[in-house]
Amino acid sequence: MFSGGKDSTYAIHWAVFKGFEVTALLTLIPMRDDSWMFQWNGVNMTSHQASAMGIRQLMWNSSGMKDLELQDLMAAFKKLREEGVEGIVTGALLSDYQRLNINLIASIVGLKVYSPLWRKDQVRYMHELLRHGFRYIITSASAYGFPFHLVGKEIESEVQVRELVDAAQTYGFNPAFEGGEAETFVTYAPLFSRRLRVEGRAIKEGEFRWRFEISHIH
Amino acid sequence: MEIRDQPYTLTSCDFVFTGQQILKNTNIIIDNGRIMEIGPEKEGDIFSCSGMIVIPGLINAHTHSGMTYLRGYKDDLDLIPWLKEIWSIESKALPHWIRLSSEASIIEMLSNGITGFIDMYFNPKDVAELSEIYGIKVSAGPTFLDSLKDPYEIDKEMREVSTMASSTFSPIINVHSLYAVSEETLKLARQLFEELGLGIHIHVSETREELFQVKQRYGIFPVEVLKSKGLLGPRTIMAHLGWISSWEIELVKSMEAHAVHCPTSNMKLATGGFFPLKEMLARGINVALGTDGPATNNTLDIFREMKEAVLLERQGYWEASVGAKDAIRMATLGGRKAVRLEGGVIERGAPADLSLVDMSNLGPITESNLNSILTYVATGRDIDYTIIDGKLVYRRGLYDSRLKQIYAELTTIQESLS
Repeated sequence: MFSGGKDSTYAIHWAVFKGFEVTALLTLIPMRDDSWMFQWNGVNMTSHQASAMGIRQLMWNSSGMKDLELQDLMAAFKKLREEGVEGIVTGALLSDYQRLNINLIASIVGLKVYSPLWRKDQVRYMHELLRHGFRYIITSASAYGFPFHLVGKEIESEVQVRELVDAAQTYGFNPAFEGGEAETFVTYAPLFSRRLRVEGRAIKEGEFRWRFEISHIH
Repeated sequence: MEIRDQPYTLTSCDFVFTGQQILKNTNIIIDNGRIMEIGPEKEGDIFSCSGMIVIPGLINAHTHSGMTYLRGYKDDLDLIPWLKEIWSIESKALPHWIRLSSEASIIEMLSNGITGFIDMYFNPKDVAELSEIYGIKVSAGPTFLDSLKDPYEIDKEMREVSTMASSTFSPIINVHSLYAVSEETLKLARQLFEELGLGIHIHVSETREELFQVKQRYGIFPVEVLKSKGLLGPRTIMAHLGWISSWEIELVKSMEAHAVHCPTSNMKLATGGFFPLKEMLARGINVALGTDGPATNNTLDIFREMKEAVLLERQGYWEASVGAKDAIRMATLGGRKAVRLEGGVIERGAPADLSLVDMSNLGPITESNLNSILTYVATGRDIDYTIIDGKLVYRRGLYDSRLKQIYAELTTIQESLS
């Protein structure tokens, strides 16, 4: 399952280097920005990442409404199972709502589920992402105390990661943004054939809510 | 050595791991089943522990002792198809097979330094008798499993077994799992739980399939079901928990229930979950270790579980924050807390339940690497003696001929199955 964010991209990276044959990137496109299950911001741009990884992408529309989107997920899983897919890889970090629902649906369809990042130490993970060559921009943020000047910036240094982690620890939000405090868009990963250059503008939507609107990707 | 009514001393123990600290070259005086003193003093008969490490007695907090006759039978299947195979055999198993199996399990556990265990099977009266014969501490009871036995019969049997408590045997209510019993059976179990004041022991959140079945039937997840049925509390012992949700971990904590981690069995049966060991320990939840049965592990060696628990955690979570000290604590104190058994430490006044580890094949051993050696190097085969309530219940080789005899009979039994 691929949203274009750091976690799902890292999970794909793990799967490839575990020796799995990754045959498709399943991207669910929620019709609302408050989906319980799926990332909303930037998913329309994920085809650039799929192309950079050279992996086929299956775009699947979802209502984005709680419970109904689970039915959409079931339909997508069924389609993949019919194609011969045996398992799903997710970037779930700490959300049982995501992990268990994905598993319950996959169990019905007959798919195994792998969540390599499940309950990993989140601070360590944020540093490792950088050290393992992942680069990403923050595409939205909505937590009190979040360093909003980083919205739209590419995270490419330890200093930036430290700033994010320190803020998370000071203000009590999740350091890897598992609670939806921020969303990300990966611009480079070891499996990318090229680095993506992202253009856009940061928009302040509220006192503690910023969004980066991607206008173009090179 | 059959000393119970007079004091004796374990002398010159190279190392004693008390549960808190490591002592070198010391003695332990034992009298009337309890530790009277630790230090240079001696009293009564002398038993040299030179070349040995003395640790608090190990506890196997989840097993099915009566399944030795099925060891290796139809191995290498996933849990659900494996269970189908096994249940079809168990429905026609003879009482004699099961008793022999429990006897073999008890001998194996004693020889691996295990001083007590929690048993889930169908022959609690055998196990109660065997516990007296061999001197091992057991918590056991009949098991609610609707497809194998009428729950009302189990209820009746449980009431009989509840009167059999002794110095070695404590009755416990066994419920196989939420998916293997009806809601009606859970009501019977709850009535017993409230009426008899006993512990309840159950497989919980072991597989993804279980999660699905329980969610379909009750609309909530397994630990939540136990809570809603009045079966979650300080007397609840849950084995496996590989598919527990984060909010259920909080329930386990707030209800002061106990978790039993069975790492080898989970890996062998490919259950694919994540036992949240670090999260549970961080919350102060009591975690014990279990081998699971001789057909799902397939050894009854808690040393191996100590090692696997740590390794599995590290493999799954990519970090080394859970270590040897945690493993030893789970293998000793954790199991005892689960069944409200005294001890788990070596200190004045504690029951003299001790496992004596031969150092000959372990080395180099220093004060600072002792926990590591016990967790990552030692196995049950390094046990020389097992002491329970001050009685020397096992010394290397004591039951070799009996075990050989039992294995021969179990071989014939297993050959007759296929």
